[in-house]
Amino acid sequence: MIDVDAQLRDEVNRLLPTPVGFAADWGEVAARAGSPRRRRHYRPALLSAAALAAAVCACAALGATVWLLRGPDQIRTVASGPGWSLVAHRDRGRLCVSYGSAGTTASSCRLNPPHVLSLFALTPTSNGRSRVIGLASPQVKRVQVSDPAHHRVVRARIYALPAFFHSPLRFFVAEVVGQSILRPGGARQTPALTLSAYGLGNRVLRRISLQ
Amino acid sequence: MLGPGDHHALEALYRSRFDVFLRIALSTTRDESLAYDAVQEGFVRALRSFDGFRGDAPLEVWVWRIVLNAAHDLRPRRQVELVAEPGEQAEMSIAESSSSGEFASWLAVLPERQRMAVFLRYGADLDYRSIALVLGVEIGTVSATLHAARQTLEELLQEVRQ
Repeated sequence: MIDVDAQLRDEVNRLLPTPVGFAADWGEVAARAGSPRRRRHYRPALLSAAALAAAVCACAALGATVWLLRGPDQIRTVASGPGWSLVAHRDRGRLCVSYGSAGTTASSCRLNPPHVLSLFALTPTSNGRSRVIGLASPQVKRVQVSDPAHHRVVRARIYALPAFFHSPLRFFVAEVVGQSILRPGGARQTPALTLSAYGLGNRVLRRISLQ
Repeated sequence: MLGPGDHHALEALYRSRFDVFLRIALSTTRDESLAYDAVQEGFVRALRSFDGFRGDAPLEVWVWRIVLNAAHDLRPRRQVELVAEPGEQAEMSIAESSSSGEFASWLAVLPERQRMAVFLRYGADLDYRSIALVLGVEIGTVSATLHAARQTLEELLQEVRQ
């Protein structure tokens, strides 16, 4: 007799590990909700003015004055092609990047520069291909997608974020043949696609296999 | 007993169960960043509408409904195969462990309600009544839903072990 309850609990906990790097932030919740509790507190105008002045000075020191003057709603295109685009904007101080194409979207406001290479999205295109979008660290000089089934090697284009964002994030984009459902996988099986990151002198920095 | 405008209970719930909300939201969004956004957005909505909370259901149940709705709202319109920055975790594939990979694929074939009931029961440790209130169904429906899910998964487990 199999104890399905116990197994279910174990497997669900294994399937849904707590994401790393996401800390509870009640302050953000309260600020976004405009918590009445916060509003009830009386804030002297002088204190607010001083805080604002300090913030402006700090931003100016960081070269972000232009950003403040332009406002937080500026949306900038990182990369685009026929029927798709990768855009960035700021939302409450966070850098948000969104990919969009016909019927498909992917977005994140919590992207961090990868150690070497990481995936952002793998999406079908309207012409029967798949588009691979990922992040590359500054030491990556070239990203290549190997597709052994079709005997193809595709070199990805690398895009930096517009200087407007003062961010070191860099994106790579490549299109490959086929629309198989792929996942990052170990090396046990023959990979359907392999992403390779090369540094100076064509040194391989990282490989990610997609099964 | 919650008083009007008393947000301390909501804040306490957020702090004590943040990880659980995050994990279950992840089952809907399938993207860690979106799951985080869903939890934050859910609690923002809960806080904004807190004065309208009548206490007809436990606070946690009320919040679960809001967070899951936020997760549904944030879920990509068409699920992409892989979304957002798995980063270093990208190579820790679901298929890394074959049994876990099989289990993931089994769960994926369960109907949406069965899958969510499984996650709320075994991932969030909610009781049947709470699950019923979150999903907006009768307790008997939850019982039947979980029974059906367990039966399906048990059959699959037995097939694998034969």
